[in-house]
Amino acid sequence: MNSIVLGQTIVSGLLLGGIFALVAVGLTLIFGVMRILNFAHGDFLMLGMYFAFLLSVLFGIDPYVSALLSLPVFFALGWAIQSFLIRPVLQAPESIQILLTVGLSLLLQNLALFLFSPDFQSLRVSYGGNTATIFGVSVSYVRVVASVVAVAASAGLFFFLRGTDVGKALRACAEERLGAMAVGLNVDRMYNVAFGLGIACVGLAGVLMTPFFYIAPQVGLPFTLTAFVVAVLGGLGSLPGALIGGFVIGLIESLGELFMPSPSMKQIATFAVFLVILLLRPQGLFGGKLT
Amino acid sequence: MKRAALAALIVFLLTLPLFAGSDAVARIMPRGLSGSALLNVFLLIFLFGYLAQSWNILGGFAGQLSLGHAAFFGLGAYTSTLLYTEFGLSPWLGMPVGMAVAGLFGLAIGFVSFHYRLAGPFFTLATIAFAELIRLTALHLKFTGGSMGILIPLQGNSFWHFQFTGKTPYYYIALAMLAAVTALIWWMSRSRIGHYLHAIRQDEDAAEAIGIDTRRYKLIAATLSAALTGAGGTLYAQYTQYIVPDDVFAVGMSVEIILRAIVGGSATVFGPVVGSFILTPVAEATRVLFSGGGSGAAIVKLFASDAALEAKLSGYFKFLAAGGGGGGALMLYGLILIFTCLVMPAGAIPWLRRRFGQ
Amino acid sequence: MLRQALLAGTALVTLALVALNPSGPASAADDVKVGILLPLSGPVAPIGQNNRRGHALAIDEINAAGGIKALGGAKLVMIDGDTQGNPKVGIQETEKLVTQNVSAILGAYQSNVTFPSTQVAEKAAVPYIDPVAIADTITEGRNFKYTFKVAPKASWYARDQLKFMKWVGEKSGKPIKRVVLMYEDTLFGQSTSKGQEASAKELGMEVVEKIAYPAESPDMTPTISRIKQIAPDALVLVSYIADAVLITKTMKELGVNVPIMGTSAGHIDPAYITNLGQLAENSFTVGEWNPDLKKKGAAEIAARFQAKFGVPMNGHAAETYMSTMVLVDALERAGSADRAKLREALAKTNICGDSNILPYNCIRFEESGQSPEGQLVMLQVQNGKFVSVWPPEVAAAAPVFPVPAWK
Repeated sequence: MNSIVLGQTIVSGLLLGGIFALVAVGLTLIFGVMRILNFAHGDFLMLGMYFAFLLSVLFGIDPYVSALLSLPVFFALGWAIQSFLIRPVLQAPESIQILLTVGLSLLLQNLALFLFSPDFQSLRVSYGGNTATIFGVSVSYVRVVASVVAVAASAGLFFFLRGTDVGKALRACAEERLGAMAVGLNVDRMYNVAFGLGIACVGLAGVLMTPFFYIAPQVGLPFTLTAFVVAVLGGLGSLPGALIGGFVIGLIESLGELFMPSPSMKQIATFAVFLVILLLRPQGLFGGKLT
Repeated sequence: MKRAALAALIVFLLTLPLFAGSDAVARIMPRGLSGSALLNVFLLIFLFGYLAQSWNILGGFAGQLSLGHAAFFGLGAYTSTLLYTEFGLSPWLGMPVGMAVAGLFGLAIGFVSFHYRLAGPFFTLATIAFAELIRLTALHLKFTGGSMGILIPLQGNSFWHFQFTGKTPYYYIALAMLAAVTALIWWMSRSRIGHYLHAIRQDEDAAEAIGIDTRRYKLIAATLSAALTGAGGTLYAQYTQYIVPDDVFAVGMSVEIILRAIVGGSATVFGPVVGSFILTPVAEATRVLFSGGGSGAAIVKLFASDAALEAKLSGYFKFLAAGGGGGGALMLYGLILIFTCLVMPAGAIPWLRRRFGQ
Repeated sequence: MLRQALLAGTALVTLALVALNPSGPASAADDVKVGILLPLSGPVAPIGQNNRRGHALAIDEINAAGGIKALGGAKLVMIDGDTQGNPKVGIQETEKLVTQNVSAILGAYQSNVTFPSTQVAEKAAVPYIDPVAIADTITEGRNFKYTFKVAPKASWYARDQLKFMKWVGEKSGKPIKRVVLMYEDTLFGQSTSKGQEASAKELGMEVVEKIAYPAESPDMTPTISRIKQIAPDALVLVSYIADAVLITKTMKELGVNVPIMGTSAGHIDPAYITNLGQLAENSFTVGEWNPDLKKKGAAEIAARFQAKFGVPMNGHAAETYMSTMVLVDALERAGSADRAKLREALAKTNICGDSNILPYNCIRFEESGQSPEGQLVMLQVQNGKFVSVWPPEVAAAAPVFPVPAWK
C-alpha cells in the first residue's frame, strides 16, 4: 500500500465527509427540534443541484453565487413545506410522519424526472478540473471549497443556535415544548425556522456539489441514507456530532473502498457501523438534545 | 343490504378467474390489456394484502414500526428457491423452511433490538440497517447468484414444482393465504396475546408496570410477523419466477408492504386488506396508463446549444407536451401517499367509519 | 363499514379501469402491435430513450412506405413497456405487453432485465428479439425457441476489444502488456469482464487487477488513485453512463494518464461527450456501429436519424433499427402476425450485405437464437465526435495512440 494512495484516500474521504456533514446537520437539526425523520432530505439536495444548474445555464450565474442565492430560497421552501405538509402530522403517529416524508420523496424525485428528463447534466465551470498537488496527493479545488464552505456553514449554524435569541428559542422548543409554549414562544414559528434552516443546509450542499458531481433526478437517495447514518453516529440532535460524524463516515467509506475485497462492498462497512452505533450507543457520540 | 354487498363481493372474488378471459372483460380493459392483466392486479392485491397483514402483527398491533420487512420477504423467497434449484426440494416444502429462516431472523433482530432497548425511530432505523445489510450480503454472495439473482427454470404446469402456466392457480393460492392470515389476525385480536400487544402499543411502560412481559410478547410478534412474511416471499418467487436482491430486499419493497397497512388502518383487523384494495389497483393503473417517458427533445440538448432564451423555452414546452421525462405514475403515487397522511392518518377504515357511521 | 370499504375498494378498481379507459395508440384491428421493452425512466433512461429512437425511426419509415405489404399494408404500432431499469418491473412489463396481444417483443437493453424477460416471453410463446443486450447467458444453454438475439455476445466484445488493443499497441510501437479491468457489478459488468479476462490471457496481456464497483458510487477517488499507482498500459472499463463520466473526471483530477478502453454502454452514449466536453477526447470504446463506417446506407440512415431526432445516431440505435427491420422482414415472409408463424419466419432470417447496415455480412440466427456473425468496431472520441478507428476494412480514421496526457 503506497502512502500516496493512502493519503489520496484519506483526503477524498475528508472532502466528501464535509459534504456529508452539512447534509446531516440539516437532518439532525430537524430531528432535534421536531423529532421528524425527513426521508426526503436527499431529494432537497437534488433540488439544490438543479437550482444551481438552471441558474447557470439560463442566466450564466456562477454556482458559488447561486450558493448564496440558495440560502433564502431553500429556507423559504423549507418554511412552506413545514407549514403545509409537516405541521398537520406533527401530532399524528410516527408511522404517518415517516410515510409523509416518503411520499414527499417520491413526489420530488419524479417531479424532477418529469420536468428535466432522466438525462445526466453536468455544470461545467472553467475552473472545475483544477487541482493542486500537495505531497503527491491531488486535491481538487472545487471539492475543497465545497468542504470548507460546508463546515463553515455548519459551524455558523452552531453558533447561531448558541448565541442568538432565535437560536435559544429553537433549543428551548426542542428540549421542552410545553414549557416553551408556556413562556410565550411561538412554537409553530420555531418549527418553521428549524425546517427552513434544515432545508437551506441541504440545498446549499447540493449547490456546492454541482461543479464536481453530476445532476440527475435520483442522486438524492444514497445521500438520504448516508445522512441518517451520520446523524445517528453523531447523535440525533447534535450539530457538532453531525459535523464530526460526517468526516468519520466519509473516511469509513473511502477507506472501505480501498480495503474491502471489492469497492462494491464499501456500503457494508457503513451499515455495519450504523448497526453497531444503534445497538451499543444509540445516542451517538454526542447524544442528547440540541447541544 | 350490507350483507348482500359483502356476499356479492366474495362471490365476485371467488369466481373472477372463470370469466376473466371473456370478451366482456377484454372490452372494458384499457390500453388493449386482456383479462389476464385483471387477474394479475387482483393477485397482487391479495399478495400485498397478505404481506401487509403479516407486517401489521408487529407494526400495527405491537406498535413497532419496522421498515425492514423486505429482509424477511427476501429470506423466504431465497430459501425456498435455493432449496429448489440446488436440491430439487418442492417449493411447497421449501415454504415452511423459508418461514422458519425468516422467523429466526425476525427473532434475532427483535431480540437484539429489544435487548438494547431500541424504540421509536431508532428501532425503525435499525430495521432499515438490518435489511440493507442482508441485501448487500445477498448482492455479493456467489451462492445467492449475486446481483444476477436467481431465475427459476420453466417446468410448465406442475403442482410439485409449484409452477403453473396460467394465473388462476396462483390467484386462488394467494386468496387462500390472505383469507388464512386474516382469520389468524382476527382470532389474535380477540385473544390474550392480542390484548397484551394492544396494551404494549398504547403504553409500553404502563404495560410493564401491570406485569405484562412486554419483551416476550414483542418477540412473539416479531417472529410470527417475520415468518408469515417469508411465506409471501415464496409465493412471489414462484409467481414471478425470478428473484433478485435489488427487488426482494429493497427498501422500496418494505415501503410497499407497510403502505397498505397504514393507508388501510394499522390498528384494525381488515385495514391492511382494505389498504391493498385501494393502493394496488392505483399503483398498477398508474403504471399502465402513464407508461414510458417523453421522447421529446431532452432538456440537455436545449442547453448544449446557445440558442436565444425564447427558442430554448419553446423547445422545452414541446418537450413537456410530449410527456416530459416520465415518472408520472410515481408522482401520482407520492401525491396519494401525502394525501392519505394529511387527510386520513389513522387509515381508511377509521375514516370511513367516521364518514359513513358504524 | 368494512363491507362498504371493501365494496368501495373493488368499485374503485372497476371504475378506474372503465372510466380511465383512454384511447391509447389508435390501432385498427389488423395493425401489427410491436412491444418495445426499454428503461424509459430510471438511472439508465437516457440510453433507453436513445434505443427507442432506432425502433421509432424504423417503424415510422415502414409505415410511411405503406406498412407491411404481405399483410395488406398493415401498420406497425409501437407499444411501450417501461422497465425503469429494474428486472422485476421488466417482468411485469413483459407480462403486460403479452396481455396486450403484441406479435413480438423487442428489448430490453440491459442484460439483467433481458435475461428474465426472455423467459416470460418463452413461457407465453411470444417472439422476443434482443437488439442490444449482450450477456452470453441470454442464449447459452437455455434451449429457448422464441428468443432471437441480434446483439453480439459479451465475449465477442471482449475478443474484438482486446484484439484491437494488441493491434494498436504493436502498430504504434507502444505495446499494451499490463491492463487493469474495472467493471460495474451487475450482470453486464460481471459477464463482460469474464470474457475480457479470458481474451486478454489468450492474446498475451496481463490483467494486473480486476475491480468491481457499484455503478451509483458518488466518489471513486481511492480506486482511481490505486490505478494511478499501478500505472497499467490501459484501463479497460465496463460502465454505464454516470460511472463512466465520474471515472473519467476523476482520472483527470488525479492526473492518471492511462488510455481509457470503454465497452459500449456508458462509453458510447452521446451523453458521455456532452457531459465531459473536452475530457472525453481520445477515449476508446467498443461499438456496434458508427455513422461514418464504410458500409452502404450507414451515412444516409444516420442523416435521417439526426434530422428526425436532433441527436447523432449511435450503435444502439443502429441495432434497434436493424432489429425492427428483422421483424419487418419476418412479417413479410410469414404473411401473418400470428406469433407461432412469426417465430418460424424469424428462425429463417438471412439479411445480408447492403441490406444490413451493421458492420458484418449477414444477420441470421443459430439454433440457440444467437446471431453468429457479429463483429464489433472500435471507436474513439476525436474532436468531440465518435470516429471509427478499427477494423481497418470499415474504419473511417486512424486511432490516436498513444493517448496524450491530460492538460
